[in-house]
Amino acid sequence: MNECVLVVDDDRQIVRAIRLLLQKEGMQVLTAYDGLQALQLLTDNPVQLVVLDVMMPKMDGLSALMHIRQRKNLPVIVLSAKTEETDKVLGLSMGADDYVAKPFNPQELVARIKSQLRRYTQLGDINATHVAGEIVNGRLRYRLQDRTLLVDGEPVHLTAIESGIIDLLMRNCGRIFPAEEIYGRVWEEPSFSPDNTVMVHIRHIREKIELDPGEPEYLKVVWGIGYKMEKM
Amino acid sequence: MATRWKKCKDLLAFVTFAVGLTLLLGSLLRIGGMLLASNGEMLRAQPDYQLTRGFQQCVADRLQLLLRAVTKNTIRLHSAQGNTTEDDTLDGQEDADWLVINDYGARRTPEQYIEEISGDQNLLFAVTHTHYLRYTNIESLESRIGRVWWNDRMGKEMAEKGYNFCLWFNRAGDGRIEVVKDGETVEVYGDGVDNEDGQWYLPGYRDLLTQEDAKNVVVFLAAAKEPVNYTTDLRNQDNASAYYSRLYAQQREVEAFHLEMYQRLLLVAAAVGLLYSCIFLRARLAAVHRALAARLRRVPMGCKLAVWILLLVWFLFGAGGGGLQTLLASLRDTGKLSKHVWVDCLQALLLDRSCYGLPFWALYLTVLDLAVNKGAQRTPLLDTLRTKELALPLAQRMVRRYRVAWTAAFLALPALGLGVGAFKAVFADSDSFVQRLAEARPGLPVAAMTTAGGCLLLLAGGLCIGAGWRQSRDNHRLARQLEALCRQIDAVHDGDLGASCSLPQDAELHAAAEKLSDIQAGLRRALEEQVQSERMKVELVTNVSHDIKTPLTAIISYIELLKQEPDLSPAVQDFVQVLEERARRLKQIVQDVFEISKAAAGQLPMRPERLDLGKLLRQTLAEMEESIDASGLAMKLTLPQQAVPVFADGQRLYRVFQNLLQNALQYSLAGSRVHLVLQTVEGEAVVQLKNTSAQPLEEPVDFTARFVRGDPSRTDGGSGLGLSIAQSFTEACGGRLQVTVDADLFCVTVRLPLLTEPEDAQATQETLETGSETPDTQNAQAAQNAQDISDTPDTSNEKGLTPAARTAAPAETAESAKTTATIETTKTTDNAETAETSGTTVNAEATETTENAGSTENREAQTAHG
Repeated sequence: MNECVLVVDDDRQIVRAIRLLLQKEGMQVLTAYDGLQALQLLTDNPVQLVVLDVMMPKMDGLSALMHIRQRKNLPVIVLSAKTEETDKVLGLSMGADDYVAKPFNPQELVARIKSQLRRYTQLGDINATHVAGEIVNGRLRYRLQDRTLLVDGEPVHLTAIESGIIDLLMRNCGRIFPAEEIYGRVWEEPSFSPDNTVMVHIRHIREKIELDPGEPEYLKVVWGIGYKMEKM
Repeated sequence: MATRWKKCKDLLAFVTFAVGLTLLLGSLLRIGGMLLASNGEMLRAQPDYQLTRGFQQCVADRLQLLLRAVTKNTIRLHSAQGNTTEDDTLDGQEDADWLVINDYGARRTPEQYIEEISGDQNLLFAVTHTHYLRYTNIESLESRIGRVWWNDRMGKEMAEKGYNFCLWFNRAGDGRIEVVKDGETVEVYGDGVDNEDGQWYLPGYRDLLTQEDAKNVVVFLAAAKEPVNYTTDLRNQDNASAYYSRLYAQQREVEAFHLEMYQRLLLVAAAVGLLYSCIFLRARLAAVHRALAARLRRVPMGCKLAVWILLLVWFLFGAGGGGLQTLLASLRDTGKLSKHVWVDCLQALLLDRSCYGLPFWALYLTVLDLAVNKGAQRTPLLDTLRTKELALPLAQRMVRRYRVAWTAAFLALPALGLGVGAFKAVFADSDSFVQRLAEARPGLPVAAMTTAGGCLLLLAGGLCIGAGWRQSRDNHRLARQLEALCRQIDAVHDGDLGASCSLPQDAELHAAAEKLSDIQAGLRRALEEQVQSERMKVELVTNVSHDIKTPLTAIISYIELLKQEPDLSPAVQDFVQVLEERARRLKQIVQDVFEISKAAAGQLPMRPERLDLGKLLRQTLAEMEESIDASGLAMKLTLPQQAVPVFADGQRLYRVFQNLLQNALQYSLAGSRVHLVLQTVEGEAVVQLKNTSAQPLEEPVDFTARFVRGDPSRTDGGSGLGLSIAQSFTEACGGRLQVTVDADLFCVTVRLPLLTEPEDAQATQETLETGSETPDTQNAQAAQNAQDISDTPDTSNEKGLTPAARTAAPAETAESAKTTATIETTKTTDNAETAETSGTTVNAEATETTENAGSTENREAQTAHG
């Protein structure tokens, strides 16, 4: 693998750490310390992914992001110490593919970078191509006929119950299912206290599909109501 | 020099104006009075005095008297109705032998009378009886004896002698009058009825017939065109010294009238000229008026009033016989007030020579004062009273005002009544004590004094009413101000600190309102400062947490890199492990601090929705199952099967219970039980979490305060923020969190307001369906299933469906035992016992795993528990 990743942050030590982590994964890493430098590097090198800090001198990350989006259609992961919801929404709405809050878990960051790279390099733009018989939701792709789930293009092994839950949730992305309903439709029998049982399975599925099972993106709990597959 | 000239100019302007105005008004009033008094005939009379009423009366009188003298009897005038009215000049003294009363009211025998008037050649007379001449003062006739025949030639003869006015009575024997003036016959009778406007009081009218005994009498009268002053010395007669020619007097009067009229008109012209010249000086005049007004402003109101009262008194008693006396005289004489009396009175009051126009100028200045200074009057006396009044306490002030108002009312009523009574006694009642007194003591000006007294009483009554009204008005205003103040207090009490109570500057409660405003401003400032400081705190925390996060990112990243180093000794690996653990905790603390500061400042975004609290608790327990299992504690759950609907932000509530559970797991005595109870009490959902503390608890500690921990030495690894966050979030969701400590029993109670809707299950289903974006038939079926389940929760509980679930769950899951244990805790006590035993085994397992992991942190926690 010879993916080329551009890491932009004004903190040189953080850039170095990320670079080391990514190099261990066998990636080629370019580094920049402000937005202008990043844009310069982007024009000169075949970069496949950008990790971009928001708060930087000369040109901040969001401005740089706008410039990048004007020219290239490559994945951009925004790093920020701001964890306000509004910041997150702003970053994503301005064209970022992912948003990672500082202080991040290095492994999670690497996982996200790899996920984005796979989608970009191997699968192309998934959202653009919609294959019949498939349900696509962000990084997830569910084949209906053989009931297989692909995460970033790679198939995931699911048990029968997990497969049943995934089948139900993927077919109804965004809909909230109470635990009783999931239990009733997957196990096909009523349950006295289905929350624990369902939760155990959901936790297992999360470990397989989520980048950070502690903070799930796809398989979410709707507190006091039920569970749902977040529609990306 | 310039100012002096200016002053001169000012003075000149004002003097011009004043003189002009005085002259104009005085003259106009005088002219008006004269015209009204003369009934307008004086103007016509020029140059002929014979057209005046005085002349006519004079001639008529002479005719009557001559007739009386020659008949030696009263002249009876027959009215048209046939009634006989007595000629009033004889005053009913028929028996007093043909006495006549001359022009001056003295009694004369006919001979005396004829002698008296014979000398007056201005009015010639000749009287015949049965054609024989009886009396005459015409020299050419005196010598004639025998029958006298009257013919028109007489008139011509007389005209030649300078007598242009001839009158015959009964010449044709018809008892009528013939008048020839300047050779022309004058129509005397008009429509033949003696009415008010008929100027001649002469026999011959239809309703004024001549007596029978005058049938044989013929009278001839001739008046001189230009009368001469004849004076007859009558000193030998009684009650008279001289006889003056009435016609001469009449002519003189006419001349004097015209002379004065000319003078007055001249004066009017002069006044108009003066006033016209004032137009050129109007700027100066305005300046003088302003200066006057400014000076008048400085004069206290009391002085002005005093001047007016003095003027009034002067008008009543003095004023050179003008004013009231004129009015009274007029009333006494005529019984009514005619127009010219009013004009006379006005003239006397305003511009009589005896008062130098003072009242007019006083009025002028008053009007000027009122027009320019409006209500801005100096009232030093009232001000002093007011100041004294304001020095009193509020309540006393109000009471005093009411007292004054009532007293004034009590005094005003009798004063006004007496005043009105006095006026009535003078003018209206014919037989009042005043009239009787006036009759009894003619020398005393009883009527004037009574009127003056009445005026003063009315004035006093008016003053009393004024004072009373003033006091009541003040109290009324005070009441309004009090109302405004109370409203303001209400507003402040209700939290409206911006409400302003703007009482006017001179309001009595202005100071109080100001003070209240100050209090409001102080409160507002304090509140703003508090909000500001909270906001700054959040800002500070945000900045600090941001500044901490950046280096923390580097730390975590390099720990990761360190961990990946291949050739590390076990000791170093252990160190790295510690580093990692601590870094993660630091990260958590930073996040917590950030959140709690936001929650405290009320800046936490909330997305409240309708949710089932029981379900949320089950979900939370399920989510935290691993750490619950790892803790080795037994959960004892009492959760109702039916939905407990609340309206809150699920994410926040999850954090609340997560924190509470974590707290319980972390600080509970090893192997003890944790009780979680959800129940609905009086419209509230009450969640109680009870655990036995590993550490002895000290009562007075406020566990929900930030950075407070049960262990003051702070070595247990917690951030001290868990309960604080839980409390902040609960309050943000509209609930309350309460911590109670009973010995080692630590109990947290969370109360949330219950959503009360009749059909909970239906509503939940609706929420679910609205939540789904693509509802298909499958969904509908699922919803049906869900409803079936929620419709029969009790039966599933009773009929052993739970064992089915229990058997189903282990078949599919890896940690089946633990799940069953947790579920079983919700059952009966017997079941709980077994759950406890299985819980302890789990506990042992958990301890093992942690020890295998070799975490020093966990070891520390354990020692803390122990």
